[in-house]
Amino acid sequence: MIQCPNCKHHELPGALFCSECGTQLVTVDTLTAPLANHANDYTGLDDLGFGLAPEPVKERVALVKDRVITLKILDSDRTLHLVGRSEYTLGRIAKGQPILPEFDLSEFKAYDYGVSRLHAAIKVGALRISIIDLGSANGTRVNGQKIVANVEYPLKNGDVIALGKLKFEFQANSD
Amino acid sequence: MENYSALNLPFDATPDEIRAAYFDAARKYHPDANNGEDDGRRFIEVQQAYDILSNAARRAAYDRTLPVAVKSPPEVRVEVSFSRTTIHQSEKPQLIYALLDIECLKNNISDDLPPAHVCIILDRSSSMRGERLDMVRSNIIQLLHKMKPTDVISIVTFSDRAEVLLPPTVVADAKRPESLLFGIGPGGATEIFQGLELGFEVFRRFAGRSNFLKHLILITDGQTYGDEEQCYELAERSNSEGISINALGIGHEWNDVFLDRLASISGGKSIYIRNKEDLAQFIEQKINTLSVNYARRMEMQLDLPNNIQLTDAFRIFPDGNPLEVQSPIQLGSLEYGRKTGVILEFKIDGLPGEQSVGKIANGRIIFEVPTKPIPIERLFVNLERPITDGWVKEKVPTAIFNAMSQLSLYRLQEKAREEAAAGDVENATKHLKFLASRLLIRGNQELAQSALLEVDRLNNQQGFSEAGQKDIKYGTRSLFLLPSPEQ
Repeated sequence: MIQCPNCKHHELPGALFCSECGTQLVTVDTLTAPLANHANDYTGLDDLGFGLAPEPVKERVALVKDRVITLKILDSDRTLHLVGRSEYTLGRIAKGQPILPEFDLSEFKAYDYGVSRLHAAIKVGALRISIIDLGSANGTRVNGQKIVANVEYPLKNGDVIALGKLKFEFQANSD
Repeated sequence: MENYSALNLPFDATPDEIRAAYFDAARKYHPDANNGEDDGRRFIEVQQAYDILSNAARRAAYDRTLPVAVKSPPEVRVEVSFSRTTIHQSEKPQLIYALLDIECLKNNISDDLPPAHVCIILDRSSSMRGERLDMVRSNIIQLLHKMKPTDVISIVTFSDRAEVLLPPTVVADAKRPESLLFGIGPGGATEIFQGLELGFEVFRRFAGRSNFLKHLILITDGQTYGDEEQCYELAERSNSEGISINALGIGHEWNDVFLDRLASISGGKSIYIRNKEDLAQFIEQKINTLSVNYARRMEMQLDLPNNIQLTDAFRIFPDGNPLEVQSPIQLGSLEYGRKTGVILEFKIDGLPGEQSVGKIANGRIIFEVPTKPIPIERLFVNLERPITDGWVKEKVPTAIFNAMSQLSLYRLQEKAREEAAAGDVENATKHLKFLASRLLIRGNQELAQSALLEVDRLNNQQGFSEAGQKDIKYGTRSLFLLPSPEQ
C-alpha cells in the first residue's frame, strides 16, 4: 500500500493518482511533460520504491517531505513554516466557504490586504518550488512582477511574494 | 454468402477461432432460438461455411478461389505501452495501466466507399417545443446541405409512439425538408425504445443496396421509463449489425447514465448538448467523419488469468468516453489515418510464485473493414510484463500519465455522484471539493466553479442539480480533448 501525501488515503502500489483527492503519486520527467500542472513533483514516496526521479536529482535535492519552506511576513516579524506536503494553498477563511485554504492568513489582516479566499498555491517539486496564482481577485506578484493566473512560477530564496498587498519573503532549505 | 464472412471470421482465423465462431453463430441463428426473418437462411449458410472451413483440405481449396486482396496484411497497427516495465513479485494486489494506440496506417480515403445512410431519431415530446426543436431543425437542414448527393437520410420522430417522418431518401431528392421538419407537432412523453425500434425497422426495410454505412443519431431531451433494458438489447443487436448509436442529450433533464450505456454498448458515443453551438459542432464533426471510417464494429476481447481483473477502461482518443468494463469492450470505429487510444487499468491480485513473465491478458482486437472482400480482421494483442523482485525506478510514459491525470478527475466526479445518489453528503462534498481544487490548479476555473456550486447545493440538502451534474461529468470528459503536451 502507498499513502497519498495530500490526504493520507491508501492506494494500491502502481496507482498513479490518489483516488480520493486526485493528487499525483508519481513523478514524470519535466522534459517530456512541459505542461505547468505536470511539473516535477517529488512526493516523498521514494522510501517505498516509488520515487521515480532519476538518480542525480535525488542527490541534489532533499525529499519533498523534508523540505521546509519559510514565509516571512514583511510587515510583521511573524513567519510561517510549511512542512511535509507537496502542495500548500494560501488564502483566508470566510464564512460559508466550500474549499478551505490550508494556510489561513486572516490573522495577518488578509482581508484588508486584499487576499482572496483561495489565493495561491505553493507546489514543492524535486527540482523547484513554484507558486501558482489561483485566479485571485487582486493577483499575485513575485518581486513586484505580476504573475499570470494558473501558471506555475518558480521561486528562489529571497523572492518577495505579494498576495494582494500582503508581502512575504520566501526561503526554503535546500538540503 | 462468402464463407469467412458467414462466420464473422478473418481470413487468417485459427481452427480454434473457427470452431468458436461456429458455435456462436449456430446458437444465434438456430431455428429453436430465434425469430428473425433471415435466421433460417443464415443458419444454413453457417453450416455450409463451417463444413468447408473446418476441413483443412476443403479450406485450402476454397482459399484458392478468393481474390488475392484478401491476403494483404492488415492496415492497422496496435502499439501497447505500460505504466511500468515490470510487475512486482508480491502476494499483495497492485495496479498496472496499459495504453493501446490503435492506428490506421491507410491515409487516403478509399474511393469505393459505400454511401452513408443517416437515420435521425428525434424526440418530439412536449418538452422539445420551441427553442430546442428549432435548433434541431436548423441543424438537420445544415446536415442535409453538407451530405453527399448519393447519401441517404431518413427521419423518425417519437414521443410515446413513433412515426416515420422522412422515409429513406437520397439526399439529392430531398427537396423540401424544411416543410416536413416544420410539420413536427411536439407533444406526449418520451419513450426512447419506440423511436429506436422504428429507426431499425427503417434500416431493415431499406435494404436495397445493403452496403450503406449506417449511422444512427438519437436526439432526446428527456428520460425514458421502463424500456431501458429493451433499449440495451437493441443497442447490442445494432452493434452486431455494424450500426453505432450516437446519442445526443439536449438540456439537462435527460438520463445521462442511460444514454452513456446505450451509446457505449453500440460502440457509439453520448454527447451533452447545452446550446446551438454544441449541436452545430457535433453536426460539423459528424459530416466530416460520415464516410471516413476505415473500420467499424471494433471490439477488444480480453482473456484474463484468474488473478487479474480489468478494473477500468476508457477511450482517451479521439474523444474521452468511458467504455463498458467487460469483455468484449466495444471500441467504436477507426478513421483513415487516425488513432484510437484506450487506457486499461488492471488489478493484479498477487502472483503465483516462480514465474519470470507475468501474463496480464490475452487480447484480440477485431474489426470490420467494409472495403475489403473479407471484412473481418483480427489482431492479437498480448499484454505481459516481466516480473521482478523489487520496484524498479522509472518514469511513467507521458501519455499514460496525462491520461490518468484526466481520468482521475473524471473518477472523482463519478465517486461524488454515486455518493450523492446514496445520500452520503459528507463524502460527496469532500470529493467535489478535492475535484474543485485539482481543477483550479489545472486552470479549469469554470468547471471548478460548477463543482463548488454543487457543494453548496449538497450542503443545503438540495442534492445535485441536473445541469451541474452534467456540466461536471461531460466537462471532465472533455478534458481529454485538450491538446496533449506531446504534439
